[in-house]
Amino acid sequence: MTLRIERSVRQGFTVFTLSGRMRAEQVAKLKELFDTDYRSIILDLQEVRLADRDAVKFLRGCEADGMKLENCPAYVREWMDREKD
Amino acid sequence: MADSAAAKKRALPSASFARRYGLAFASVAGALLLELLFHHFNLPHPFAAFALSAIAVTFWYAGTKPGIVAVLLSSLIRGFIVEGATSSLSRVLYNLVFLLFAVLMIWVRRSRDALEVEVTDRKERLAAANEELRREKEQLDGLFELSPDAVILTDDDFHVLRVNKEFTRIFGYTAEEAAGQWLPELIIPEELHAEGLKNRDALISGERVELEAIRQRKDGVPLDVSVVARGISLGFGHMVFYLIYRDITERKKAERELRRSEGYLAEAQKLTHTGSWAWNVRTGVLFWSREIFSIYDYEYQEMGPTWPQFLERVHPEDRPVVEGIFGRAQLDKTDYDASYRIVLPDGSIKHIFSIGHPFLNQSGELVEFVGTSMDVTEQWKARTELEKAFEEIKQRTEAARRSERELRDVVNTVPAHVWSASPEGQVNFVNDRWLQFTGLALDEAFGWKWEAVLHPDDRTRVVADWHTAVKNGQAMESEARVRRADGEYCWWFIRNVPLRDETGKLLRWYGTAIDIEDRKRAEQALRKSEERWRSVFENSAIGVALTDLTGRFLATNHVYQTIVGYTEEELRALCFLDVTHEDHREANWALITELLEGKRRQFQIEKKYRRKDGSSIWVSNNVSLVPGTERVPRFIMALSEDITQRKRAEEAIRSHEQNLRLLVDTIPGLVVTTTPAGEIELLNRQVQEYFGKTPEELANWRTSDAIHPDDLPLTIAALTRSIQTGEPYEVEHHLRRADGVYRWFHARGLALRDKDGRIVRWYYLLTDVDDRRRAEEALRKSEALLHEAQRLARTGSWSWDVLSGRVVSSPENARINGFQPNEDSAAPEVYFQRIHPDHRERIREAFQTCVVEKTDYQADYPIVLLDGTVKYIHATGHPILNKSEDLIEFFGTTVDVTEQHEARAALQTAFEQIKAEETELRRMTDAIASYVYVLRPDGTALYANQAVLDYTGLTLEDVQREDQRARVFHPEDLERLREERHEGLARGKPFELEQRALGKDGNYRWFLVRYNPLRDDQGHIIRWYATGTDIEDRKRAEESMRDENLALREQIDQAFMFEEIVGSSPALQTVLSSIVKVAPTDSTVLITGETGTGKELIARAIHKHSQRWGQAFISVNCASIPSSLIASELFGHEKGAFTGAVQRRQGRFEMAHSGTIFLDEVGELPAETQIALLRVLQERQFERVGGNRIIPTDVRVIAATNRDLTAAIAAGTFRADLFYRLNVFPIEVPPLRKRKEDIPMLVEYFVKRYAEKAGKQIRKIDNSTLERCQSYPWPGNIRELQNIVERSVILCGGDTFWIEKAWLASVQPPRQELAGPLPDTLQNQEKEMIEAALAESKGKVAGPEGAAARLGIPRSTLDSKIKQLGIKKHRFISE
Repeated sequence: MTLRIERSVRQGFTVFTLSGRMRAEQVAKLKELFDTDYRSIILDLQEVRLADRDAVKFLRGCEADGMKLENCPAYVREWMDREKD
Repeated sequence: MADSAAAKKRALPSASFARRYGLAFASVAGALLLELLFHHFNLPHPFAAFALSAIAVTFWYAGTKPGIVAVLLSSLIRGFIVEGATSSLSRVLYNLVFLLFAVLMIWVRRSRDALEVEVTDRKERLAAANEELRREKEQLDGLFELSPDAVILTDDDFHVLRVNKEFTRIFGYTAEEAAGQWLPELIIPEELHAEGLKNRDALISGERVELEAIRQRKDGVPLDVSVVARGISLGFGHMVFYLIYRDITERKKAERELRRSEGYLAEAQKLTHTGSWAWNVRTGVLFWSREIFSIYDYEYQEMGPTWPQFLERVHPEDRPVVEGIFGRAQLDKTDYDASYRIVLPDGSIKHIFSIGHPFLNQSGELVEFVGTSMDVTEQWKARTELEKAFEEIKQRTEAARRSERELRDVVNTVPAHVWSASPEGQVNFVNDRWLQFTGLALDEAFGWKWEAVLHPDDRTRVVADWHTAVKNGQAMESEARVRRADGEYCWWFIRNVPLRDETGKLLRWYGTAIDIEDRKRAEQALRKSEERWRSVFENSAIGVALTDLTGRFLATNHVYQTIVGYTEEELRALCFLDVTHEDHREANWALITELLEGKRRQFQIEKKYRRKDGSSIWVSNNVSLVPGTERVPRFIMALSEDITQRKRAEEAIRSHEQNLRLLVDTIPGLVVTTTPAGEIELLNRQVQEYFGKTPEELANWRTSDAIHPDDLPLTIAALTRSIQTGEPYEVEHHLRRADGVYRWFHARGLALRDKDGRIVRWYYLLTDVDDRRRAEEALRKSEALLHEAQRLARTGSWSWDVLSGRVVSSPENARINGFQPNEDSAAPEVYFQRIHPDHRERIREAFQTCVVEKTDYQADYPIVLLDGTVKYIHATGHPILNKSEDLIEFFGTTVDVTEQHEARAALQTAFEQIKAEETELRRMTDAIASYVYVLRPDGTALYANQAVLDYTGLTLEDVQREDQRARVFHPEDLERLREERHEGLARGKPFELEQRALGKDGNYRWFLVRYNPLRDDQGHIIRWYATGTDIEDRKRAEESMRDENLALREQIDQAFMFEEIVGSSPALQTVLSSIVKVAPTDSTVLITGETGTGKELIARAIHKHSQRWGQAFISVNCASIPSSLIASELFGHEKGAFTGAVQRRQGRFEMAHSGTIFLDEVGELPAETQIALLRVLQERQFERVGGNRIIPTDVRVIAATNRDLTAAIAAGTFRADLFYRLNVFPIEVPPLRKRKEDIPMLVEYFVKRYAEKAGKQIRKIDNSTLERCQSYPWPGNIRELQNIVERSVILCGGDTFWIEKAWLASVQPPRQELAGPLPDTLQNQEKEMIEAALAESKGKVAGPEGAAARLGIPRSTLDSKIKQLGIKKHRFISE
């Protein structure tokens, strides 16, 4: 399964809706896309089915830089929390 | 020879001694045995016949000596065993027969040996001839590859067969890339395809095509090439074309540059109205450039007019002059220049300035006159007008000067008379001059009597003035006319001055009178002169301005005012510097200063005036200082002439000069002029650019600074000779460019002489001929290569010039025809004389026919050289025609084909011999009962024996055809045989194949074919012998055994077909029965059942038992894929179809092609994907996401869901049409609670699996555990059971399996259908919702627009609730 990325704008925020499997190779692509201030980006993760360690670390970094993560799957959230530890 | 034959015989393989003599004994023993057997059975038993056969066999297979042994044995046996009692005569006769037969067999045996030796010998000769041919082919291939030109060999449709390396270098295509390509598409630009096809037609018609064309490289870059092409017939209507391409881009580029340069020159000539011409003294041909035709008003044509025609254009008055000048220049061989007029057809006259320069050959003879003619009509007109105006000004200036001199003379003339008077004014003295003048006596003068001499008109005034003066005592001056003695009145200037004493008392009056008659006359004359001068001043064609010494204007004439644009009054307020252009003020004032200081009397200045309107005007001012008089102070006079036109003319001349300079600078060469002493006078721009030096730097250069050291001696010698003799200088040498690179230049120097023949200047033109030299060098190399190629290919070339009748022969052609290097071979007849007498006339006639008919010539004939050597020649020729289709030349080649001829003859002989031997051998192999094939090393059939032909019903030609294997062998075996046979042949070792071959009765039989290689001395395989053995019976036995095995395996498969589906309950048996029925079909299956019931196992079982079992089984869980990705997962996507689609990806349908796709949780598919899936099911094709290519697919679809699809359809979340497409064959998998009898078996199955996995020994299962399992409802079905068993196995410590009680007790009770009514409030609310939905659907319950769909519940549920809640749905229908 690949990762599909859809971009939209909502109330001044750039919303990236991700679907599918999020792996290390997609992280680089996402970094290219996130070319603006992370604080103006919302990442909708509702359709993310799988994420690997690189993806989780990346998401954690994004959130730390001010990006808002929406609909984050529970296991991803938990994994992110563990990574913090 | 005999030794050789013996050696060869010895070399032949022979059997061992024991075998050979053993055969003798065995054959005779056999004969004896037969004799005894026949005797035993009372059959006729001619021992002699048996013995002769034995003897024959022994001789044939074992040789002469064993044969003799067999004869002796037979004789002995017959004599002592078989016919012991026969008579002596009979015995002698029999022995004689044996002896004769032995002699006969010895002869046969020896003949056979000799034949074998001969065959071997001829095979070796044939191989040697083949090797020679191969070497020659390699040589020709080498020539082809090493050709300096790109050579292409195409078939008759222009498809490339072969190209050489030069082609790759020029066009960029490798041989592999070019092979098979259509030549026009490969290298001809698209717009030139039509031309290319026309050339192809010409080639097909047999023409030789030579042209220069534009072709394009692989990278699309166009290039100029020369093409030579011709077709070569291969016979049988087949042709190939040779096309030879040469890259001439540089030359064409140089040509284009030259044409452009010529264009520039022509344009320059046109702009300057200058044309060039050349007149060939010998031929009288006059060449005119296009511009000259325009000047002389002739229609442009290739050649100029004749000399008389030219003279007709010359003005009749100038004609003798032109003829004289030109004639003299011819005689003197010197340059000339001439100005003359020409009269055009419309009567207008043009003025022409022409210069000519003679060109002499090395003998000093005049060869050609080259020159230019310039239309100078406009210049002539301008100059004439200028001269006229100048002459006029000159005349007026002279008049003004004369007038000035007259004025000056008058001013310088002064007369004087003297008298005195008393204080009262009484004249008392007059001088004699006065008396003489007046003619009066003294007394007639004294007192007041003098009044009488005054002119009556002046008397009163003068007397009154005198009285006043006397009265006032003041001096007086007056002018009056006084009568002279002759009665004429003359003007006097009278002055009376009082003389006083010391006290101031008036003593006397003294008066002086100056005869001012002359002055008065002069004044009158002056006035008249002044009037005239004023008239001149005012009416002069040039401007006159008078200024004071500060430059302020005193007077100006009208012309001057016109020049400066000011009125006289305005000018009086100005200084001359005010109207002088600011650029000239300083210089002008400096000259004025020198004038005032007396350093110069006058000066002339050309300057610009700034006119009142701001414009500028060029004037030529002649300025002089006019000396002052008593009354007139010095002043400055300026004569101004408007020279704007002259300035423009000068500007035009300067521009013309610049144009000439530009012309020189655009000459495509280095132009240098020097003095006779060699000092540089002029260098054109190209010289400076080439050497990268300024003219000043170049002036100090020596010859050795520019010219290559290797060329110096020759160049200096030529230069010195030219300077000494004045002859033209011409040499080619290297010149060093600014970057240090030396390039070839053609240097030509010509001397310009004066009328006395002295050299006044040298002109040098150096032309860059580097490209030409390189081309020549390349040509020379190419020519050398060609000669070398001709020598290697033994091909000579020749040409025969029709006009001169001379033959030009290449060195190789001369060598082939046996001419010595210095021998004259220019006459065609000497070649004919070389031809063998038997062929000479035939060849001569054939050649003459080609000459007459202008057709290609081709002939094969022998020639006899002077030493008697005979050579065989293949000659070709091609006529060269001019534009009028007249034959001008015949060009051809001569190939020495002696060796080929001899080799062919030898081959032919060898071939005939081998053919005869082959026939003999074939007879022998045909006698063999086995099926024999003889194959080439590559496996193609050469020969098959009669047994093969008899079985297959084919002819030998059929066997030798490439498709014979496909015709003979079974289609099912072909692919296997092809691979195994290929591998076996490649290994080069004996191998066997089993294959079915078609007999002529139409039936296939199995054969075991054994392949054995035959190798030459070097170990190379030269033949394969394949012998076939019929194994049909054996194969039948094997197939029978295999069928039995297959049946057995089928039984086993059926017994274990559902090994992962465990259970024997009726519910499960129903499912398995359905699987068995539907699996072999291709029908779509919809599997329904609760989650965890093992739907995927069912799907896999269907796939495993279908015809697609060897292909892929792809499982897709539709619920696990995000809706936005489901389409791309199922159908794949193209690169860039969406963000994240970084590469093309195959979808599951593509992966499952030819197999089965299992769509689990199909009820979760989003609507748009349902449409796409429906299309796949209907049309068996789909498109990738982001793609536009339709991809066909052959997939069996098995879908599964745990949802109630009927309800989903009712709710509008699942398409009804898709449902019906999927629900072709529904299989409902029962929940575990409905097959409780299977639970013990399942528990046992899972316990065993996980115990093995965990490495535990579990021997039994706790009964209470099984009971609990059977009473538990298993909402998670088998998956739940599986998980609990796995968990329990992990926890299990002993050999008894048990399950924790709590795990089976804590689950929720089984789902129950809604049994009782909802609480009232909820019930009311529910009723309201249902009624509202019915109202919206107008009472319709089912369907996409129905109330059930709107409420999202199944139709049956809604019907139940409507009934339960007492809703009358009919009333909503009426609404």
